[in-house]
Amino acid sequence: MSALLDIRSLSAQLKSTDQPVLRDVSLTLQPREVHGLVGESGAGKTTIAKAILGILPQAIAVTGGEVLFEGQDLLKLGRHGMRALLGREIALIPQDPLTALNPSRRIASQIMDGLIAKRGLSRREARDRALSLLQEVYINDPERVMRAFPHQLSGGMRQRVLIASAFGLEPRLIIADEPTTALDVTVQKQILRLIRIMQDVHNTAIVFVTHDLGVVAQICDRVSVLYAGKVVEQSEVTVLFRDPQHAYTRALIAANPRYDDPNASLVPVSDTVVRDLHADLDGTASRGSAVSETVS
Amino acid sequence: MADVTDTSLTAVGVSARPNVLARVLAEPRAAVSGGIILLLVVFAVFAPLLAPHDPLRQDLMLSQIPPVWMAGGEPGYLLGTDSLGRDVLSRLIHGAQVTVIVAFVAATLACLLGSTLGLIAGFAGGIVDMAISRLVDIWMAFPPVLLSVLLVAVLGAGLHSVIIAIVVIDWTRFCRVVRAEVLQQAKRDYIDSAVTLGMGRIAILFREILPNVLPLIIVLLTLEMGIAVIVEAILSFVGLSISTDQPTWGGMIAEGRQIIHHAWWVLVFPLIALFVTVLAFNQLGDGLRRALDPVLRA
Repeated sequence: MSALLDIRSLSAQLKSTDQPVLRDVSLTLQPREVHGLVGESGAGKTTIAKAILGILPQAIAVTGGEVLFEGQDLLKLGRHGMRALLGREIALIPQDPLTALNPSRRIASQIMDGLIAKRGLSRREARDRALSLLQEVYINDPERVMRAFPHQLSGGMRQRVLIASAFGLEPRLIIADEPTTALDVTVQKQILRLIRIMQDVHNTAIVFVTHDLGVVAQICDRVSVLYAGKVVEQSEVTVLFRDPQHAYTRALIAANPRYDDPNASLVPVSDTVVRDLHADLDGTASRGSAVSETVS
Repeated sequence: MADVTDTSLTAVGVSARPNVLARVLAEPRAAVSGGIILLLVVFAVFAPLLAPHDPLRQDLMLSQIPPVWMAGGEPGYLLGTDSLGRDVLSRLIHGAQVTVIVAFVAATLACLLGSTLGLIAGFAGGIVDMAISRLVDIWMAFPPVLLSVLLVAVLGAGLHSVIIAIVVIDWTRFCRVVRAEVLQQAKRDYIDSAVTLGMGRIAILFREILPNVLPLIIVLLTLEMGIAVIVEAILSFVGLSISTDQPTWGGMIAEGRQIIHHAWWVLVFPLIALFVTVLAFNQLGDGLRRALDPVLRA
């Protein structure tokens, strides 16, 4: 099976200071695979997502590498080519459902927009499809939700609407940019399950951006751990948790709060690990070179 | 799948939705001021039928008759007459014609011109935005009264030059505010969502941004109507508006000013009409804002 998405040595930097944002990032995604991107804030997770979608902020310049989607380099497609692909082959589940819906338009027209423009449905067909999509994401009263404005729905509801609208386009790839971060914990779990179910039904590949290893464990098949724009470890999820190779990964796993032991203190990522990471970044080290693996 | 559903997942407050008109009427301010403006429009349209006298007919025998409830008032002249014996009420009713035309036509044209340029500036950005914004800056540096007097002087007095003067002066208000609002909206996440849906720029401008800017534009428009009424009155007051065979409130105020000591009613009634009209437009703007804004109306 050939790769659906193949990112090759992608590098990017801030235009103003030449500070690298992505360093030689490579990852491949098979059809139907859910690939997690984990890392702390500023590690470059969202930058990768935005590079795939072609919505990198003005301040960031790609300095090298390719983003191949079915063999086509997205970075060379240009605005017009991208527009043809977005919404048809690639869709986004955004981070903050509270702001990602247009406040002055009803849910119905917002879901129908994509269906009409990208799937070529008539208004009537699009309306029926939107209704069944809302049912598919377990919304009890889709008729009412269709008529609602976004502010009349809860955060979890809005995220369901956005999930319905992303999967409804039947794209081959969905970028989920921290889709649960803005939600409270009980809702998070429902939404994760929902994404997994939808992914199963629609056979979609997902790039799942998150800073939460717990989320990764629940939903991803493979995972890339990022630090300062660099992939420090990449493996199957089961392997990652059973046998983490990189000191930073181990530290991240250890830093997860333990719900089974309320008395356990939190474990921060230790300075030694971070210092080693920086030594690695500043040196000439290419990916796969030996990194010091001391965990204090 | 019990885990995925949630019984609390019902949309709150989504009732059988009343239409826009019903929402406006439910807002007392908008309803009252809208009623006043409607009344004004009715007066303007049916002026020849409603006015008890010919507003231009002079009769020096009937000069400066006080309103009917005062000593010396004549029953046929409800609000009295001016120094030339013309009926004040009839002149007021006919004066509403100019007021209404100026309010609606001039304000709408200023709104269209300014909002269009504002949308373009805010959305296109770059050099286009620069050019339009600098033009607005330069434009606003002119003293508005001087500019309007100058314009009317060049174009010649008349209804069309008053309208042109108002449009030329006041489009900048719309342009500035709309541009700023478009910039605000363009930064919002839902624009990114639309981009990742592969929507074109024009579609995004009209389907995503415009609906969010529209309530603001409508509010500005009603405020501008009030301003247009005042500007017309000022131009009439200084004698630069319409020829004297069409009564205007501003013109009446100017005439009444000279005889304020012995016939105050000639000045006061058009003043009240002007005041109530402008107040109604301003209140309507405020009421509409509440009725139209999807978030405020929750």
